[in-house]
Amino acid sequence: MDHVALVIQHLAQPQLLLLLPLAVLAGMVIGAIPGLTSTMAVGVLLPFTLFLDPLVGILILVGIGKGSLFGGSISAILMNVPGTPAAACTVLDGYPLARKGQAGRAIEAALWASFIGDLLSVVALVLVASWLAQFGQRFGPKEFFALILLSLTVIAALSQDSLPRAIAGGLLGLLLGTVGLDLVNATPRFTFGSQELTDGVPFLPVLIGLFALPDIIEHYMSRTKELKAQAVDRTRFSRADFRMTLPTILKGSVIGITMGAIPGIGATASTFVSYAEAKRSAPDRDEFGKGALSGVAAAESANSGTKAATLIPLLALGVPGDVVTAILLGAFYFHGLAPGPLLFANDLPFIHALYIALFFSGFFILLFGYLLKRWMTPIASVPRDLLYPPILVLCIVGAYALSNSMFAVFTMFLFGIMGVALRRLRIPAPTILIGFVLSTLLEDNLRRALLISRGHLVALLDSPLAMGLHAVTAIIVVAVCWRAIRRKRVGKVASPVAQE
Amino acid sequence: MLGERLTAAAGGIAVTVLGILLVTFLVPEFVTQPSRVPANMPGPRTLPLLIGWGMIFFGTIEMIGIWVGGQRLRWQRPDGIGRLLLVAAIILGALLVTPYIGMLPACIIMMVAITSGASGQRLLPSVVTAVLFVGIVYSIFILLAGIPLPSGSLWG
Repeated sequence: MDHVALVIQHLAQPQLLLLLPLAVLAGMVIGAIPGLTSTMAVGVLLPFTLFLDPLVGILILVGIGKGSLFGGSISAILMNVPGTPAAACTVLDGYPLARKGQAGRAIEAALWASFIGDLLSVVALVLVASWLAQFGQRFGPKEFFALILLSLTVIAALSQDSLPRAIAGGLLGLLLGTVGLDLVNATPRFTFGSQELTDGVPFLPVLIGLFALPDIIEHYMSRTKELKAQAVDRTRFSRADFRMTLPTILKGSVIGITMGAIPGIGATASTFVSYAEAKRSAPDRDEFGKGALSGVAAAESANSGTKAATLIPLLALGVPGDVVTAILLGAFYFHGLAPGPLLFANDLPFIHALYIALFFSGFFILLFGYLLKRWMTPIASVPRDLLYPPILVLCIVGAYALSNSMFAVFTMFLFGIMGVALRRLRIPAPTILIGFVLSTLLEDNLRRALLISRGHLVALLDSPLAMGLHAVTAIIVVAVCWRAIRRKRVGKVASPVAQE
Repeated sequence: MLGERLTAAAGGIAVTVLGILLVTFLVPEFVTQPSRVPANMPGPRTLPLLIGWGMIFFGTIEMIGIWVGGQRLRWQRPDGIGRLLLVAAIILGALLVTPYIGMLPACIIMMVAITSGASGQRLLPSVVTAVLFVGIVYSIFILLAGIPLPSGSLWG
């Protein structure tokens, strides 16, 4: 009874009831505007959530992420430009539908696919996370070290075509995480005599600098044309359409959930797999590429299916699977919470309240999707010249507010410039952020494991679980290297000089 | 030709150079190793050194891979560098005057200057948008969350 009362107490906060729908709405609007990504939105709005109750703050960020996944489909359908990378497949059939004068039907198909994918994803989260957290209670420092290493490898392996470059990004993130006072001996590392750096490189300026500012800098650096959106017509997604696309939606959701639960894969890859499967099996497969509703449904159900599923490794083991969950991990830490098996053991009402709120947030997507349908064309067409200055203000105020110092603001701009340089060098920023977030955890577990074993490295492998995790890491590295070598051989046969 | 191949390998080169710097200079100079840490035990330098060696290893592999694969890359020259410099100057100016006029007025000036000065939008809507938006920020940060933002020494 106490447990139920605590869950209700968590949920019955007026802030939550007001701000969660607003967050979903904001996410949808942000996702609908090309040039504004969900990562940017979650990063820029993170400072606002830190002064709220932990559950409310975290749900706002998740709500923005969820809303933006659907929002990304709007610009994909109306403008032929995916609002978020996860909507890349939605473009293929969504825009042809809009060109045929069926934009309303396509948007409603995306809406229902997102809604169902999202709900099933929450169900999977509820079913799997507790079980995984129980399993995670067996983990000691060796196992956690092996798990973090495996996660970083998977993320690096899947984030880019070049594994060494992606691993280098992860190493750069780990290096940033070592700045400040040493965990055990409290001696300074890379502080260069600066008092501000003794607490480490601040998380928020790194996040905003790497994920929000490069887009803004590149917008002002190049003369990009603003795009025009198609108008939303009065065509509807009928019951017959629903019956036809439901199997595709269910399949897409399962693909999204499965791929979302594995760290590193994320929404974008799952949409391609789901789209390919639908192209093989959907009733309207002959229409694919020319305006098939199943194409839109497959892509949208898969990307929404990943959303709550990415929370499974985060909540159960404390390991983020993508950039947004890495930001969420940072938000958990800011609120004094450490996701992982201990959170399930110590604060189960919080977890259950989170599940319930996540479940209901899906209904807000459906509600706002229908209410906003008519407004989507002007929303998607807002010029970026008008959007970026307010975002800059949010970045500056947000970075300042957290530490009450201009140091954080200048650090943020420094990382913004670094973000542009990293894009030029083709080093993926997501691996840097994930390495940065996991750095302390990795070092802490490595040092504890080595202290217990009195410095013997072999001891890192003497548990079957740790050895199994290291073996999987090794297999992934070998597989990626093998794939790269094969690709190069094929490339050489096809063309003697590979051009990028 | 050579330039394009070097450009393609630039990521690997940068990472390798950083790794070498870490191992040879940055870690010995800027990470203090306490004398009480035994030689075979992990200390503050352990992870940074591992990272440094990792960077050298993976950076080298990346360079070799690109060189052997014959990849070439040409960076596109940005066509709006003047506009970017103008925006950067506006932001820097706003940050520098913040201690004197306060953060929110500086943000209004910055928004208006970027929207109408650098992007060529009309002045009046820019001013209205900036004032309204900064008003919302003021309500959230100062009124609701109670976070003090720099108010500016000019206003006393």
